[in-house]
Amino acid sequence: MFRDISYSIFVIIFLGMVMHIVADLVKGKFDSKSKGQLHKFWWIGWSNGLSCFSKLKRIVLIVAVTCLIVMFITAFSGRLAANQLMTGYILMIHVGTAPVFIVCTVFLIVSWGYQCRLTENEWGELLNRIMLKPASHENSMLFLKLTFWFSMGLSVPVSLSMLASMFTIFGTHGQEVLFNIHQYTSLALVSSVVIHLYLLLRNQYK
Amino acid sequence: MIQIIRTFMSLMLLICVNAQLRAAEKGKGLGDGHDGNRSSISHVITLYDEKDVEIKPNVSQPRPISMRNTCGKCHDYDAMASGWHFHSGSTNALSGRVGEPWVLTDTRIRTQIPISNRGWKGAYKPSDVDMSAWKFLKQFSSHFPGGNYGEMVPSDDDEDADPEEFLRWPISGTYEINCLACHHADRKQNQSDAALQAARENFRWAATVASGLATVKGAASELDDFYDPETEYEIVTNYDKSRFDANNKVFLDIVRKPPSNRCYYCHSTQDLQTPGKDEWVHNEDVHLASGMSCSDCHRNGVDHMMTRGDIEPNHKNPHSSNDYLKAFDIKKVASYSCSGCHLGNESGVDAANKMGGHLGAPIPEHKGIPPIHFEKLSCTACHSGKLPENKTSRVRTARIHKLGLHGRHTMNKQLPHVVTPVFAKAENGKITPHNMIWPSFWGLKTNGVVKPLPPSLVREIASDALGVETDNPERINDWIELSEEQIGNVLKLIGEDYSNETDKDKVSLEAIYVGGGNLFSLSDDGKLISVPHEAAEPYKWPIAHDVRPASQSLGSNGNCADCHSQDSPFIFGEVEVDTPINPGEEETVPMTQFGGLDPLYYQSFAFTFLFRPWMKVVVIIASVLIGLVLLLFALKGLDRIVKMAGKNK
Repeated sequence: MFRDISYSIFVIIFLGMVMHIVADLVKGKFDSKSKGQLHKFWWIGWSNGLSCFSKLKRIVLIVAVTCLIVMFITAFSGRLAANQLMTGYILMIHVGTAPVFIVCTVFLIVSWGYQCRLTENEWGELLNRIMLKPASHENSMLFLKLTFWFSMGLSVPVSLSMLASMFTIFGTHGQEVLFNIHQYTSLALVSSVVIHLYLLLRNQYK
Repeated sequence: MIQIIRTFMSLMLLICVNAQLRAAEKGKGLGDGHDGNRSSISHVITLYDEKDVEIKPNVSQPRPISMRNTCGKCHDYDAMASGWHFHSGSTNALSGRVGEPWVLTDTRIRTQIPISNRGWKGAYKPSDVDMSAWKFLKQFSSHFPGGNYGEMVPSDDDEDADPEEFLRWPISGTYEINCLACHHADRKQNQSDAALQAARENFRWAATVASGLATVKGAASELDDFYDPETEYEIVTNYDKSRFDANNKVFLDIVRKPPSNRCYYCHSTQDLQTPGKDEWVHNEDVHLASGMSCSDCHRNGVDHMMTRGDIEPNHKNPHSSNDYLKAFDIKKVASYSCSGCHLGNESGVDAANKMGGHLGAPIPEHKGIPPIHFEKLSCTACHSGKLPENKTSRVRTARIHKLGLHGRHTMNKQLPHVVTPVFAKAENGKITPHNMIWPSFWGLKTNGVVKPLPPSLVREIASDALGVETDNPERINDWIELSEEQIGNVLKLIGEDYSNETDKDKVSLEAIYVGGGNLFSLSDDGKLISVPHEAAEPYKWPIAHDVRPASQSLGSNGNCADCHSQDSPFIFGEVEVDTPINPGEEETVPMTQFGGLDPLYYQSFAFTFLFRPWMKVVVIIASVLIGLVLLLFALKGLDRIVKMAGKNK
């Protein structure tokens, strides 16, 4: 069940991104900046003249994303390939990476939170979209910011579901529920982060 | 006319015989099953001897009770004979989960061989050591429920049978299934007496004497081969006349469910850490302590195929033996396994079985224990046997060490050393506590296949080399020490004894000795060499009792360190190697070897538990901070929504 849902979501996300890129290419949206103007670390928003804290923010982002990739590979590779749960050293790597990720996440939400708040226009766009009214989306950062908050929000149940299982609070059934919460919220977190990173890179490149 | 009468008479005779046979068949199994009345049935019954003659205590020379003829009047004896306790000697003995073997021991020749006819890995069949049914009884009948080997009298055309045994069987009689050994609730039932009669080769009398209904004078073993039991009366049966009523009927306190006390005679285990005067500190199995009996879980129908608790819900084939599973109604049997009672059997036949809780079994919460544990460990791993310590300890079992023999025939066998608990992988892949013995024997390796030699033969071949006749030899760790020089000498003697056979049959016969996990043999230049060998691997069998209370289970109260610490005996314990070679040296092997566990991984994993409290703190603080920031911005967002809503008049 979880394996099938995971496959479906990843395929949908991948196809969605491909279609989005193709649509942008057809509209010629990637012509605005020449490649020569980009910093070699443009993909993490690096540019000349960044302050130390700005550099730190980007480094932490890299660390967090790396941790997430490690946790994704350790958790999903066996599950998607052979429907096997993690055991042994794979499990240890997964568990060992988790605290680093969560600490980075705290730093990210504190340091990027203000920048990711919704502007007046974005609120309007959001409300219009909720009410299914036409909304301008030229240079909109709405989805980028929403995926940021969505990812941050999901990191809490992802962490707490495993943390709670380490206490003698939940029995076998509770443990199974916690495990299900962990794996489904993790799937949502990964999906959200992938979309966020895609939008971030797209935004950086444009 | 005469022809017609003759035909008519013959026909009538045939009809009468047929009617009688049918009546007999009808009676067979009359007492089996259940009419629904829950009250126990009083057994005031007539006793019959092996000639199906009613037993009257006042006649001269009454014969002992025949269970086949007495119990068989109402119960299907042959159906019961197919049961778990009674069919191991048959050619189609069921295998199933590995169990406690019989152990053929001879300390003088440093031999202990696991014996079983069930084809369990590491155990040898009685025929492998030239053990006939008669010899089997002689060796193991002290703890024997009867039937099986006890009724395997060699047929007249059996050319392989020992001629002497032909003569001894009629004198001793068959050892029929002793129904009373289990179902007689009378406190007078004394299996130690049955053992004494069996030791005297009075197999025919064993059940009668054990029941307390009669005493017997005389020993079949002391009678000469040509004694005629039909005409001579050297063995005298004296019935307790007070037990018979005016109709020569006897009240037997027969119960459908055998009391645990009966089971204990053959299925007791003694903890050798607190033997003797400290025996009183032992606790019983938690189930028995709460008022249950063995047969509450180990149930059976008329076929006497006791459930062994090993067929669990959702584990369709825990064994390599499909026939074993076919012998049980899996859906029903699984409901009486540990998980069947305590967690329910999803594939159970009715709602009650699906819900579990038989006999008030509590549903365990297993708080704080991730479900992966239930995939990797059996229930018994945490709940059964002795709590693990740094080094395995020893136990004695009733059958192997002949416990429970009282009076003059009391034994105090120390060998073989049964080490416990050994956490090894069972056939279903789960880590399970085991009892274990290290086999030691002299044998032959024929084309790579190792088989033990009968101890009696080794005694003949190498009596002097092994010091068999030495009075009171020195014992170290209960063993008479065996030096490598002795091993070499005995192997040479065995090799010489079999050299003719090797030449004749042109087969590769190699004399070997198995001990301490190694296989010893002589190289071409006559030097003793030893190598680890499959045949020398320890024989181990899973244990489930005594079940400890939940509070004494591993991991109780979420104490992960019971197993996940760097010095946890469960994973990093040491298993005693038992051998007559340098028996004073305390050799051990790591527990991880038996569990198929990677010690480096488990050391690393245990190491991570040192940081687990820190991790918990970090994750809690991080989650709180993230939650607060989310709340902050959520409130700001809410503020905006409220303001926007307010603008619309």
